Amino acid sequence: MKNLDELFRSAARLNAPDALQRRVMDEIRANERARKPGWLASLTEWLRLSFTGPARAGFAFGAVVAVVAVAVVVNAPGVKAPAPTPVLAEMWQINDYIHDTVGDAYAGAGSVNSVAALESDDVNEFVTTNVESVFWIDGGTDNA
Amino acid sequence: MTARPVAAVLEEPPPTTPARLEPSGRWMNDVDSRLVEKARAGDAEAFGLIFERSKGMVWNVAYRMTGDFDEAEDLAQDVFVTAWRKLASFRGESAFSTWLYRITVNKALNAKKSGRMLQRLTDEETANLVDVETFTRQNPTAGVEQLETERILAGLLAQLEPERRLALILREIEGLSYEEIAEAMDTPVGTVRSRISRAREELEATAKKMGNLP
Repeated sequence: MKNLDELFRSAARLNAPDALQRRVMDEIRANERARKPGWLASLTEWLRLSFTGPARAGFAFGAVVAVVAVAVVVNAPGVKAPAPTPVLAEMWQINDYIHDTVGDAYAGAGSVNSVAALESDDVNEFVTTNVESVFWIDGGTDNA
Repeated sequence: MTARPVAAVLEEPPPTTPARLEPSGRWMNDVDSRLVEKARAGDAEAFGLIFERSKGMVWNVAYRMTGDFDEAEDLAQDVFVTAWRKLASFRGESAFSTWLYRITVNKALNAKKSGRMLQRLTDEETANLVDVETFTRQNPTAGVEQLETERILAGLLAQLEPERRLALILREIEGLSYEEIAEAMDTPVGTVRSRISRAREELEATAKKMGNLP
């Protein structure tokens, strides 16, 4: 039996699991790869790692499909950037933007479970609307 | 700027000792500003040091907020990757630890929205709350009494709504000042005091009802 202060004082300083280091390292590695040439494959991998979790698998799939679709659209011959002319962005800016808009928007929209239940078309539309209206991905898949 | 990637540095053995307990009872988590400056400039070694120095504080908040090792890992990973990506936006206007606590707070409260947060539990659920096998593996020096303390603490924290739980953890376990908590939670100091005060009242009432406190 302890009073509250004693209980807090006796709380252990818990050790972080070794797996945490590995997981952080893997995701950062994926981030670093996404900043190099041949970015499309890296970007999809980065997205998969960023959003993959037990409850996020459906969303991860949808997000990857959506971003690949956006990349194909904006790199297709004859496709112009939407007006007003978007900012010509570097890959890391696009990565950050996608992470912030998609990740935060869905985190704030409700449960991750509901996101996983979304049709991939919904995710596609969201990413297309938000990404294509801001960034013009220039130079094909070897953007860097 | 070093050419070594951050991931390579993180694969190496810990370069420094973990956070230490100051004589005041507060955990010394802060990271030297010169280290942060190096990391902002792309120095992977510096980020490795920051990770090593900070993982304890992030992990302890993440675990006590979620009450689950797997969920806490997800949360802590999210915090560090976000910190790495956002490091360039750290202006040094607050202590680095406060900035990192703020990211942790945001992620923890987002975990509430996504249902990854420790929920109010029945007595029976509380009794099984701490995963003894995982806890013992990660904290091999913990004895039976420590396990019991953790079970009681987790059960009590589970009774609090997330904002109060978070404020209480930062104050009573992490040892932050009211001002630091206010900054980390982006909330007025008065609100922080109120949350902590109410949280303590709730816990004392719950603990007496559960027979955990005298």
